[in-house]
Amino acid sequence: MKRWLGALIVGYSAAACTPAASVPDATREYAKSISEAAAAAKEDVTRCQQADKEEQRTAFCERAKKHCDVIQSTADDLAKSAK
Amino acid sequence: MNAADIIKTLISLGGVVKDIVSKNSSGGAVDWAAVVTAVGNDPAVGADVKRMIGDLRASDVGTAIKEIEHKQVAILKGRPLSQLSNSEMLQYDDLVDAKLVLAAKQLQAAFDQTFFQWLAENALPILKAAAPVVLPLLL
Repeated sequence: MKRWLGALIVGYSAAACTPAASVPDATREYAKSISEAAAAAKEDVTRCQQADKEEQRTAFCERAKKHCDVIQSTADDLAKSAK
Repeated sequence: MNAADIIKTLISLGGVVKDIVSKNSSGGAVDWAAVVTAVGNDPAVGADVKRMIGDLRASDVGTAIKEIEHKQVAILKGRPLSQLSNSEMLQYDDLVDAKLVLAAKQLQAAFDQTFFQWLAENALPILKAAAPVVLPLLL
């Protein structure tokens, strides 16, 4: 790997990730974001079930599933990096 | 760099990485260490990647998250989700997904080859899908 790329990666890690928030703060932010995504998914499911138009039903069911997929993918990503 | 710029830069960077992955994989598991090396050794993309990562380096993911939160508050106007119109709810959905991706990144302490894997496999599809709605909201 070229040295500049390694330096930039380390620099980004230092500048944009770790110091931007402490681990407890970042954990709280992540937990809050999951909670919001879950709440949005729940609302999407409700709208999916109550929709009287097929188009709306499909849109909100898909959005609910997407929230779940995003929650899962970020959790998997963090689990991998924590190993 | 504001939230919109961060999302646009991540999408651009993700596109470059995906292109390199397609050139360096034979359909099996991706060797992400090799991808990082290929990015560093490819003069055609090296400058672009350097610029984009440099831009991200100066940014603050936490600030971007706060910007998204402000947009969430502006959409909610103190109302529960159940009182949003359908179009407002769909906008809120995209903001929540984008925020979750950034919050996950913020929590990741390590920043090595897994960044490219995260960018190409996780962040890029989500941000590309959310960008048409989220970017106009953030500008």
